[in-house]
Amino acid sequence: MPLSRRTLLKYGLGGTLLLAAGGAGVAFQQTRLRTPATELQVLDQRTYSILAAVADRITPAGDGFPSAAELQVAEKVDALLATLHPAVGEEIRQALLLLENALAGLVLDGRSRPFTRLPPDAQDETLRAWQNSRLTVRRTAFTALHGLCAAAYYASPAIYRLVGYPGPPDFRGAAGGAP
Amino acid sequence: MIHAGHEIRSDVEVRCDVCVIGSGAGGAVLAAGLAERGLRVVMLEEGGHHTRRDFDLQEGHAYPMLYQDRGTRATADLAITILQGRSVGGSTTVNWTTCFRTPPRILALWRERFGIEGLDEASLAPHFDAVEERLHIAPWPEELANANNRQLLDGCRRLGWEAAPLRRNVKACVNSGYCGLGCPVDAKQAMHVTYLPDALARGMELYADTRAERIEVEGERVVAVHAVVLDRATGRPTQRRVKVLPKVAVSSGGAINGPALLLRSGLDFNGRLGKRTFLHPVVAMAAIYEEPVNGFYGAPQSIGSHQFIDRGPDKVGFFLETPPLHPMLAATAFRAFGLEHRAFLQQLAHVGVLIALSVDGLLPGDEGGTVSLRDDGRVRVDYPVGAHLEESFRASSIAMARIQLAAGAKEVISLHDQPVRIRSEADLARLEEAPWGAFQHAIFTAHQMGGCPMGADPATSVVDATLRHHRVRNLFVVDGSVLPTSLGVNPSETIYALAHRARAHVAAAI
Repeated sequence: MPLSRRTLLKYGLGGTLLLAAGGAGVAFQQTRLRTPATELQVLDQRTYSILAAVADRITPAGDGFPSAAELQVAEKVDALLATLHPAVGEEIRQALLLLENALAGLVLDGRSRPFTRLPPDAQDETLRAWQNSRLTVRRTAFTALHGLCAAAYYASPAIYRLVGYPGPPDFRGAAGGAP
Repeated sequence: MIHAGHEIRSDVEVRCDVCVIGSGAGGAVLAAGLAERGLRVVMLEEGGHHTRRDFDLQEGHAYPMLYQDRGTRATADLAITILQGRSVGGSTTVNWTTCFRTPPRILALWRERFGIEGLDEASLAPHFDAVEERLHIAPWPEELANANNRQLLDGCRRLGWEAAPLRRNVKACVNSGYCGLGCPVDAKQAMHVTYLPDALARGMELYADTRAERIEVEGERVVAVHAVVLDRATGRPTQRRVKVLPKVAVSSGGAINGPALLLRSGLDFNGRLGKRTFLHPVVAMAAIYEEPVNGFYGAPQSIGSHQFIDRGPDKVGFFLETPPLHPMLAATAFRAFGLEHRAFLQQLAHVGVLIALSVDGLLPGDEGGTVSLRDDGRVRVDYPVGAHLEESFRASSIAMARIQLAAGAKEVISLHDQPVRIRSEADLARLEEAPWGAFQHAIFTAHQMGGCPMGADPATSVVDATLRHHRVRNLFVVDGSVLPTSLGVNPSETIYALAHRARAHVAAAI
């Protein structure tokens, strides 16, 4: 909750400071960790877990669509990062930690919990705020995470049927147009 | 002979007449002509050598295998996604086959504004004729257009706007729709099945998975090209090095990696290297149709419209084409997320998409973008989207929406962060009012041009009209980076023809 004038009036200055301190205390709540299905190459378990939480919201399960976890979206992004310049992996790690950081979330957005511990609606709200942020770093981070997650999810043959795509024909063995 | 990275087991040092750096539209056409003249050519290509046997038509494999930065290349702020090929054959392995001769008005503008002589319709004609014959460039029959392209044609005709079948470089094309993922039947006349085999048959040595890191210049002459062999799986440099000692060197790495190589080599003599980078920035509009579109099948790009190519002296013109509609590309382009994102993808088989390519670099003062180097050695592309482009994005999106409505779309959807949805002409005002520009909606480029512009004045350009470097006289640049403006048409055939013309000039410089 943002520290509004109303809050200030209701609790007085001292109470407000206590609230803020409480918020800061919560800020150190730890990331909700997940266990990767494959060995990580670039991300660590913490950043992997944040990415997996983001992927759940970019491409949510439901209506017959599998979860991002089932399609191992975060694992696939990690594998892709392993083939890119090391600086790219580091940038993605930093973006994920920034998203997770509840202290920055408290100051800028008035949320007091790390991203991975927010309920789904609040996670969506946070992602939307980043997408529309005035801060270039947030918009850039959203674009990167959206692109990586959406690509890894929808590249999976498991979703072809669900989007009405019969998949590529099999041309192996077909004669080529010789040059 | 092709040497794949894993076959290069020790350091290589090789002498030759010409070292060509890059195997795409420029390097391949040039190399074939040099080899035909009996010259010893060594080609370096940082991408891998992939053939139709490797093309399983899965986006999740093709983009990492065949595109720059594994399909993630973008401007530094990520506002513009950059689709650019990276394999033996360069972007020709993955382009959507559309071929145009350079528009005469562009050649006239180059002569007028940049003093470029000898590049006119008549003098280029034999070069266009030659590449059109070798690459089987011909109009694609209108009746073979897929539904996505048919909608562009029908919509334009109903509005009284110009639209016409495009010319494609294909032979025995099976209309599969997978040009962008590597042609599965070698019907696309990409470099790896045409000019590169021509050059290899005449003795060219091609080192794949081998990245040129630096052109060594002594006393304003190239003396060596230093390259490193990459591990194909990780893309990381190995310990093995390739050193080429050529009489003439040619930079053909395209409009991003090419300028970056020259910058890394310390060859920016006038501050113009990497400047005036043009992208034909692309915006797209999606539409939902009652009938299936199945835009994932059929030649992805077979109809185009140049109705709005010239919108007057102070506006950016644009031209209209179509993309393929496979799930991954569509999912990354649609910038909403969550349920709205999924709802869009669920209708993919009924989605049609048009693209508008803005013709940048023509208005006075339009300097486009910049290619530079990051501290960690990576290339960096910056491209500020100014007011003129924003206006073009808005106008072109409204034009696309009108075409889609005229073609019978039941809903037209923009690619904004908050998609604008319209159902009739009466709703077009919403597109007028919507925000257009960087970070508001998806923007792409599939055409990278400029950065090593040709021109008569050594103070303001990098190469002369023969594509020879103004200062380092045994260095040529033969790729899309020499274009002093964008073209207003897909650039591949212009690059083929310029490379064909450069054969004689490069050979004469030895």
